[in-house]
Amino acid sequence: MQSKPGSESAMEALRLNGVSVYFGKLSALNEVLLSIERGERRGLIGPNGAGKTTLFNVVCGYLKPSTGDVYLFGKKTTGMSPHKYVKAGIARTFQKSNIFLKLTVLENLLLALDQKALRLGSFTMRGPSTLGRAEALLSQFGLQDKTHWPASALSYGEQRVLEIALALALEPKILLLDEPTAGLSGAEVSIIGDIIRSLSSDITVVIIEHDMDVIFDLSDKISVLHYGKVIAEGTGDQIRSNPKVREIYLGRSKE
Amino acid sequence: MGIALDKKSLMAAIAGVLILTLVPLGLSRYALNLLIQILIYSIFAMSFDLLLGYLGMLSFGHAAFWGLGVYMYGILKSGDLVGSFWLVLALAVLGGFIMALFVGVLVLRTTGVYFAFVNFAIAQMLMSASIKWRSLTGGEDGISGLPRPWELEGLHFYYFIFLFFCVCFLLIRWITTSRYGKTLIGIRENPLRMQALGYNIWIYKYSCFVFAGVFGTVAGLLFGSYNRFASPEDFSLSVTGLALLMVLIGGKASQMGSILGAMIIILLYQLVSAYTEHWLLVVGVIFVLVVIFAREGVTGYAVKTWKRISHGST
Amino acid sequence: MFLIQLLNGLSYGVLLFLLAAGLSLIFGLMNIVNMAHGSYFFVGAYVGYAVAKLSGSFLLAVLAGAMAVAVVGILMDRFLFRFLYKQELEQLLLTFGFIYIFADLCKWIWGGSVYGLDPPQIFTGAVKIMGSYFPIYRLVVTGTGMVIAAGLWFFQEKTRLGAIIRAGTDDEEMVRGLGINIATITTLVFAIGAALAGLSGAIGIPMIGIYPGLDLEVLILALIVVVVGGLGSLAGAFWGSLFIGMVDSFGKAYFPDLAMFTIFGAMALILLFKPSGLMGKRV
Repeated sequence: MQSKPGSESAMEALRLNGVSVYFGKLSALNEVLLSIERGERRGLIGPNGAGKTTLFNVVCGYLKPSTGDVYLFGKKTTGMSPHKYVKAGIARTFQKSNIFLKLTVLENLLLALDQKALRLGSFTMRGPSTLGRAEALLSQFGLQDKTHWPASALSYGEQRVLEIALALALEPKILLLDEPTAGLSGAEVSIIGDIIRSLSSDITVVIIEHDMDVIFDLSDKISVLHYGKVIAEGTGDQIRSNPKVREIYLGRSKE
Repeated sequence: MGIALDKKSLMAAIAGVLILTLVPLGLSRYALNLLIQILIYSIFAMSFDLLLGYLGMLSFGHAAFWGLGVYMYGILKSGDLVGSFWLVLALAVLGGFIMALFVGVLVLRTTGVYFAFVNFAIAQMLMSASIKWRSLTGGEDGISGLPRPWELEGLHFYYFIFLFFCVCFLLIRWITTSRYGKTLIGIRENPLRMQALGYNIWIYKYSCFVFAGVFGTVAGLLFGSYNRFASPEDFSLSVTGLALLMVLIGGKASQMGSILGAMIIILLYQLVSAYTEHWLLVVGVIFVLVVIFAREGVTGYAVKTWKRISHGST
Repeated sequence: MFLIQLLNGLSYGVLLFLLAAGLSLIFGLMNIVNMAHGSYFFVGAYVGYAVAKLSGSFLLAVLAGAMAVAVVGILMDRFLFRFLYKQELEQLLLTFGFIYIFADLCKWIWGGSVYGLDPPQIFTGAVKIMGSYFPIYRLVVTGTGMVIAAGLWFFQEKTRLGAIIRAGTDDEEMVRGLGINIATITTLVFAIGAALAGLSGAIGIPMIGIYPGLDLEVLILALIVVVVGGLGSLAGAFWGSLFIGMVDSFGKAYFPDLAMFTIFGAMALILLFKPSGLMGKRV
């Protein structure tokens, strides 16, 4: 196995080693080196088109890196198909709400829970424990009153919450959140913030965000992506005072 | 383990079985034949519905399996090559299974309209094979004068078909109401999301295609035993078109829908052809009308109206 | 002999192109696969035949065939596809229903016999090439087809309207945002596509004749062409048609018993490596 020697790999949840992604001549990601520890809350920021979602896509198997490798808990996983990544312990949310609009809230969750429970039992009925876990999740996220509503009837904020619930239903070890608060009102943003804060410290969380307050508040460490390259990495304060970052965000941040 | 059996479904099922067992006792030969056709086409429509209704994949080549079934009966039974019907059945199921395995690998490389066409091309290929391969298939003339299994006739033959119908219905219902079926629906609704949830989409599509193929072959086999005739026409687009029409009219993703659709189309055919020979024109017009005005089909609208009534009363 | 097969394949391919181009164009702009396209060919052939018999003029017949089908296409677009805006599966199914309608109407009006026509006087006869004879008419068809192909290419690449259509293929919202009436454009494209189909039907009578089942036969070929060449691409339709024409011609000459298999085999192989065709727009 190709894990890096030393104690780091034991603590390391995710590593990108010189990952580049080319679309023709355009490099969406350029020699990205990233290492995220277990239990860490990593923020990923950068202007639009910097490659943040592309990075997520690579880490989840939707895109194969043109060069470089991806390591999950020290194991090289480059080139695995998306569903294998999920089985390896990664779950993600999407930038645009990507739930089953025509199914009910409950059915959405059941599909996620079924996948975890499925081994050979595909043709059997669901056990009662699955239903129980679904109800627990619904309560945890405050959706229990809307259990049988079609997902399309939820407000956009509630849909984003459901999206996170779906990811958590998979009991992931690494959770990738792609702009979880985009398009939400102030109250809804703080709900999402609470949810993220309440996540177990066993889970490693990586968050792409444009809302600087949220990111600085929730992250232990922040990586800044620009034109496909990581140009800065550090704590919130370090990033805030980094001249390169200030230059990029001149006029963009709320400071 | 089990099929979705709430009290309402169970009662409906028992009622259905009773009706289909007792009513035929009083039917004329003509009506009995109609019922037999309805049951056989129901199986075909349900198999097509697995792909179209549950998985959301339209194929214009489902006749490939129907024709395979018909010809397997024709080839194995002409001159009584194979005496035992059970052996013929087993070989047909195996044949359909193998064909679906191979065809599936090819056609699942495509999606959307390409998928629809490629399947169509496969069916056409089989049609021209059946025309060219005279020594095996009798060419354009097909194979005629096929015997009934165990020489069954009339009412006995009806119960034979009814038995197969029940088995196929139960199996398909089991598939669609299990978690496997829910997964199919999930893939239909949002394949990207299903992938993100960790499902291996390809395996589900492949297995569903195989199921649809096997049941389609069984339907064709039964039709061959009923019609006592195999011809290249059994691979034609119009056979697939019938399945499509039945599923659309009856309602997608529903066994009852497929059965209703089969019933409506077959009875309609009797009605229309009594007055005019322009059945194809009528079919085409119905198609167009259903697609524009009634694409949920009968069961779709029934469910909608039921929901409106029960919610409206509060 | 080889040259004859080549020319055969070429002339057949060109005829296919006229048909497939329409199919591809319509898909490119409207995301509709017109399952009734073979029926368009069919109707064009029948109308052409009727007009030829009535007027004695082949040219008139060809024009009539093209026009008649263009009108049908416009009516279908105006009155039916409008209802199903953006619902691609439904539109596909709708056109499928029309296969039945056209087949039955043609049978009703003209009966189920086989019809043929001789090519116009000036083009009858054969020309001697390398020791074998090749029908002059087929050469004319090839030439005409090439000219039309060039015209279409020119139209698509070099004219403003062509640019709009190409843009519409990629991004309808943008085109609409530019204030261009996308509805008129789609009707126009549909009319052109339909006219091409009708045209090829009429032109093809001296080559293939008219018989029941022809509509499905050419539909299959057109579908294979666009699957192989890729839907939405005019170039794909061109090269796909020539390819299929050649495969068919050489297949018939060297493997007469395999016939359609060579075509299906080619299609299967190509799909194995390129599921959206050689130059296709992603479905």
